[in-house]
Amino acid sequence: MKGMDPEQERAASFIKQLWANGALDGFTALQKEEQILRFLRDNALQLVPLLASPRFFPAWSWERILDLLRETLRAETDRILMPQLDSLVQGLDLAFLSFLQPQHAPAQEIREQMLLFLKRLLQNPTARAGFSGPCTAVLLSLSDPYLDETFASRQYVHFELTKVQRLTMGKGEIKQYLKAALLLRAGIQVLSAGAAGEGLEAGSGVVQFLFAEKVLRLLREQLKAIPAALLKTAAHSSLSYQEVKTQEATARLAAIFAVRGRTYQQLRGVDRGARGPERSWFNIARRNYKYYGFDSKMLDELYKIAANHGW
Amino acid sequence: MKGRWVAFGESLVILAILLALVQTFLEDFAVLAGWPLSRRDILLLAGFCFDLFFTVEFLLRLYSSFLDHMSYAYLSAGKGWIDFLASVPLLMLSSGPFFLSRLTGQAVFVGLGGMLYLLKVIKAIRVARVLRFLRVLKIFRGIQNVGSPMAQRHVAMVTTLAVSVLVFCLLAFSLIPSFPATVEHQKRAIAFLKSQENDLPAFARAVDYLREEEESLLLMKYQGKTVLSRYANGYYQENFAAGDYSYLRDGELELFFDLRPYAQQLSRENLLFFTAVLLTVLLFLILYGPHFALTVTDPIQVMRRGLAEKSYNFEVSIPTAYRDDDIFRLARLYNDRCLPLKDLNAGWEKKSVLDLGSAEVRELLEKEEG
Repeated sequence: MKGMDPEQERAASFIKQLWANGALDGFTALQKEEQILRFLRDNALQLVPLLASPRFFPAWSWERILDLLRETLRAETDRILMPQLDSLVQGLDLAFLSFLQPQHAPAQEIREQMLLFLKRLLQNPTARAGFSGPCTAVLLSLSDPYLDETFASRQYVHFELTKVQRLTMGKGEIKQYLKAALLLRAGIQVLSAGAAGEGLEAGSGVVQFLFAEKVLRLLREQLKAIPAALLKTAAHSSLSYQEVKTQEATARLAAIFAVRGRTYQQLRGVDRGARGPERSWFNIARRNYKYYGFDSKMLDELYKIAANHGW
Repeated sequence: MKGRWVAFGESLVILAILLALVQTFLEDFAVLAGWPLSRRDILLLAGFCFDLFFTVEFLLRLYSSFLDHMSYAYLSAGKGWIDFLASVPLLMLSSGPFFLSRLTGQAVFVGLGGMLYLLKVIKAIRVARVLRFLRVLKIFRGIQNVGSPMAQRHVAMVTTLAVSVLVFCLLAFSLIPSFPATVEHQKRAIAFLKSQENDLPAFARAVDYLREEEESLLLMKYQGKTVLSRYANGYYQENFAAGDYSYLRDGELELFFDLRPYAQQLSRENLLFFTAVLLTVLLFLILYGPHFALTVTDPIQVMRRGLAEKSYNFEVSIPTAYRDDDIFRLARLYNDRCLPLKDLNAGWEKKSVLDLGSAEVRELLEKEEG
């Protein structure tokens, strides 16, 4: 590690060791970052005497050590995340935009604006944490198999998408639409930092309608190339369906899969005698739908899909 | 190093148990199939070696537990009683005497009824060998889907009880003296000959009659001379060992009867019993073990992890057929109340899945330094 002072080197190797811990296997880069940050926060009392000892970070305050560790951690995450993000956005099929707004900006301009926005967003620690779930959902295409099934069975979710929201696009376009909305969903948080954090409910990520509308106005101003309907879905995905019954079906689905992405862990083995991770998660979500502001009927349908497939 | 030797010893014992079970099966199968004496002698020698091996092993284990003041624990909870029953009595009463008689070339001459009874008791004692099945239960852990020590203990307990009941019933019934019709029949044969002893032509006719009608009569001696022999001497040497024939004497009349059909009957019964025990053990392991895991230990394990681990949020799978079992009623409460509450209050938002103590963190830091 050329050009690093000994403390930076120590911090980098410590973060690398934590990063490689087996408990974090199957997590995405942002999820790992979040887990390590929580670990540092939760274990500060034990870590302070150890890290501030003459052997590691002599005469450093805990805040200084923590700042260095955070910075190192963020660099490590970005090293993995940024190329992933680039290929995600570049790989998005934006054909669905024609169904939302026939006359829209060129796809490449939209992609560039979206990428720029996401990179700016990831400078903000709060937004970074908020982006973890949606990013995981998009990276791992968590919603795709469910959309396939809902289109095959043509029940509640399909009805809400095609008859209530009146989307005329096909299943493939809706999948891409949902992914784009998920990527932009964290915008609600980057702007909330600027707006003194008002309206944010810690934990569930649900915001009030007026706050969402305010954010939407700001998003429209900043992301002019992106069609308003997509921004609306992204902003409204942080609303509670219990409070806003007019919430778009795509926004409701984005809300569900963004939260699903938070705890999703790949390669996680299921013990004998346990239900699959998807079925378990959807059943818990069904119980807590009010807290997260989910549409319980959608959850019921998604739960049944997971149960039927043993997911 | 010591641990490696212990592991090697345990593996050796398990291998010996499996081989001894094969030998037990073959010993009876050989009688039933009419294998020649030379092959049966090899099996007999193998049986003696196994009994000796297990007796030495039992004595070593007993001595070791005695040094640790754990003799009672070894003999009771440690299933030392199975080790004992499947070794010492077999060596002392079955394979040992037979092996010695074969080694010294001295046949054991016992009266007909006594011979039959002895044969039956010895065969019954040999049945105790199947108790060795119980000692190999632990090697099935890996293949029976039962990882929990609780499940293993319960399955071992019910299997031990079932097999022990079978073995003790057979042993108890074997000890009740009962003589088959053969005994009376053969006694009547010698009485018939005896009644003709004073009339030589009648005696000769009686001998001819018995040669034709009494198939089990192998050889007859009168006044020390052979007056009837069904086979050539070589045949006797190749096919008859102690236990394969009986000897009756009345005055100057000596009769040797073929006991192989009776021995075959006993071997058939033993094989039937062996198969019954084998199936009992296998069915407990293959069917009951996984059933116990499915309906008891697996749901407990899932709930335990859910309560102990911060990020473990899998629900218990509730089989429809057992949904009213107490354990699954509890599991339903866990699924419907505990996990949602955990998700709301103490789940993802608050804790990291990284669970490292100070010592582990120090190790991480030092690892890089080194």
